[in-house]
Amino acid sequence: MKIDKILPVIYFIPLILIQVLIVPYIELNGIVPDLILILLVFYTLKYGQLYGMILGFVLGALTDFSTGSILGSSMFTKTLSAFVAGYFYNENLVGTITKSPLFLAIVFLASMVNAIAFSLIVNFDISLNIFSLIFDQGILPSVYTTIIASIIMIFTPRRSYI
Amino acid sequence: MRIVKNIWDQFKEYLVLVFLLLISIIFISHSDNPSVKNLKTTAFGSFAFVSSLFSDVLHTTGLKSENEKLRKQNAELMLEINKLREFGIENVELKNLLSVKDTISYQLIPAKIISKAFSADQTTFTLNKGKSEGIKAGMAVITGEGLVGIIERSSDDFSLIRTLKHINFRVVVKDQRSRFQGILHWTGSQLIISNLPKTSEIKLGDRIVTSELSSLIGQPFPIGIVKKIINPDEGYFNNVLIKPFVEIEKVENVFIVAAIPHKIKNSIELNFYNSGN
Repeated sequence: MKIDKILPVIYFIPLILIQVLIVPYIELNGIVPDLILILLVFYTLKYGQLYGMILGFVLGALTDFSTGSILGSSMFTKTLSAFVAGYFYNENLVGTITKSPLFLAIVFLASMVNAIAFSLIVNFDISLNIFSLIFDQGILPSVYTTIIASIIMIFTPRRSYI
Repeated sequence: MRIVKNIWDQFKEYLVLVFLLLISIIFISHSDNPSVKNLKTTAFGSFAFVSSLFSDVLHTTGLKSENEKLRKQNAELMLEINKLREFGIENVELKNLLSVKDTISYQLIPAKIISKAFSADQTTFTLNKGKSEGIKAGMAVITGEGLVGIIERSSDDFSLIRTLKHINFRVVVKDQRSRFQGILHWTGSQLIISNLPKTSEIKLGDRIVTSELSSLIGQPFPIGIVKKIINPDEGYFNNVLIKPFVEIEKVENVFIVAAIPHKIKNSIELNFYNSGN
């Protein structure tokens, strides 16, 4: 059980390599899916909000270190995303929620929170266009992340889920 | 004690959230601290080493098509060079007549991008060249099309590029036709030159290059063309939208301009190049 809880930190290494080496090949006008966020939402729904927030903080720190972004920015946004995703944690539904379409909706919501919070933190500008913030920097990356999450869901054998 | 326990049981998620967010904010506010920078450079160097092992395998797949493209580009450049050589000779003669001396010399160091981190606000790339090759913070990174960004920091073997699509990227640019100057920056979705006087004679399609006034990039590297002029009814300034020549997302091989600015100019300006970053 304890080993299982640190597994996402181990999974982070191949995932961040895919994120910086392979994902750039599928970018659409600079928009890329966030694989780390999918991992985070998955484990938050498995172990709950509190665990998710701590995991988000750790994965965020590792992301900041490996991508060279402002230290603390991903820590902040991933913690917040896990907090939001954690509201959908239900002890009785562990194992089924990550197989249902609801999982994709949660990924979309968490991704929106992640992307918008990130933009506000690193680029806070009083003249910021709200439409651009929500659409360009919020919805578009979230849709892409959700599509990738659905592809992972489709091609992952059911028995390998929680 | 029981009250504290009750509060913890009832609000632990919120308390942990606030605690973790506060730590994150402390990190964000200290991101320019030298010790934090050193920590980031060490971590980034280690990660870049791992990425470089895998990136070599990935890059070999696209080599054939890239080779073909480069051969075509080579032929086109040969024709262009012929034309420029003529201009160059003429330029040297004119400079000799006016007794104007070149103040800047530079060499190009080829490098390969081994990983890319995209986000709307801060797109950064990792290069396979570092301090051991003489790379320093502040050096310009270019391709055949134009400027890609500047070196943000270097470890011994790797460097991080702050690309044009990074909100902390600022550079003095000029309109090559009208010679008007302004500061170019990335807003998170657009590359713009802001606060240009309405009297400036910038037109759609004008070429924008880096200005010699820039203490970082003292050479006129191409940036892009004027795509749109935003002319608000009120105020005295325009914003100019720029379409970059370089498709930042598609760049794979670059050159680092190891600029050697004029010693006197450099000491007067306390150039970033000499800061030892």
